Amino acid sequence: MNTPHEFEKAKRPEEVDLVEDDLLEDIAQRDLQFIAYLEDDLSGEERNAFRAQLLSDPVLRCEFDAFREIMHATQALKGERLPADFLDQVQARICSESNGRFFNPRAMYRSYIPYEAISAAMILLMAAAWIALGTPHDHRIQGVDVTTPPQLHTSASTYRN
Amino acid sequence: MIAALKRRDEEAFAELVSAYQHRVFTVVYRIVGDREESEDVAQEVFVAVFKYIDSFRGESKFSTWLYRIASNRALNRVKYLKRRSYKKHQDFEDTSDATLHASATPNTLGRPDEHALGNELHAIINAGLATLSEEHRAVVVLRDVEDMSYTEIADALEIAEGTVKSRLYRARAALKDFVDARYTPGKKDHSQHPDTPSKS
Repeated sequence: MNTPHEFEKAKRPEEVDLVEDDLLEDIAQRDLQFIAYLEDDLSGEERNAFRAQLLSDPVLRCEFDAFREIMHATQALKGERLPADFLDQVQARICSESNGRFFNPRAMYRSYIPYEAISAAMILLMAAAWIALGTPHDHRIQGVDVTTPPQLHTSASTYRN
Repeated sequence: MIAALKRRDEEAFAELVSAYQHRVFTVVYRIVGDREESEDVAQEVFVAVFKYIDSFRGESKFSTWLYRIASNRALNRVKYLKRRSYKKHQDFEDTSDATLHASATPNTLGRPDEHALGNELHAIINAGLATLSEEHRAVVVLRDVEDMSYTEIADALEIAEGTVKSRLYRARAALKDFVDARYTPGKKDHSQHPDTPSKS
């Protein structure tokens, strides 16, 4: 079994893998032991040594119980409750920030449709229309000779107005 | 759920808010200390989730990602409140850090509901939490309220695990000193065997 001195030696703060420049030297060694035990940061051997100390030293046990009470009370602090309309407030905020694109009760289409999907759908629609309808069939222009410039019919009446 | 959120499914988002709102608010409130400001920050958190859900790659747990946003926003709000408070008081020669801190966390100290409940120790601990730096408070809150591991806290706060431990040890020791100076513990049962650790 480790003596208290051996335990403290084994439990130097730098061995707890703390931040490099913070060795916690200003914190009482006993408090560090309590925290390490309660946070389950001790090895099996260190844990057993500490338990033996607690059982054999009533003063240490008393201090440990006080520390544990504080730590348990901190963990047991009740959670905070939000107002019932919190979700409504969040949704209204998103609606406002998205210029009514989301969570807008007056919007016809409330679900999110990416711009890419809209673009692809429009292209497909136009392609389908082109395939279905084909190019315009205007029989009146089929016999026209497009290589000959159109004749301009000028007369005095053309310039009348 | 995540896939639905990425599609901006409004029902999925409503479910998410319902599931996490109180936990997020508790974390934010314990860091910021002011109820009104904390409600605003909590709203910001969920708006940010809705906006930036595409950036969640699934490399960590969703809750860790969520608490990263929450703690970052809460810490930023505390800094903003301190700056604003400093500007307001900069003409006064006796503006001290304690004054700034108290003005940033006005509702945490001596909350009337806890006094009404007669829960003296909880009231003192809340007051003690308010005296910690926001960085230390954030670590304690994530550890105690959300039961997060060192690794998860390090991920959420984007700091090293060693820093998490260091801050947690410092915060616990400071809280113990604060409470010791103000609280007389009740009768203790010393026959109890030392129990198992609080965290696994």
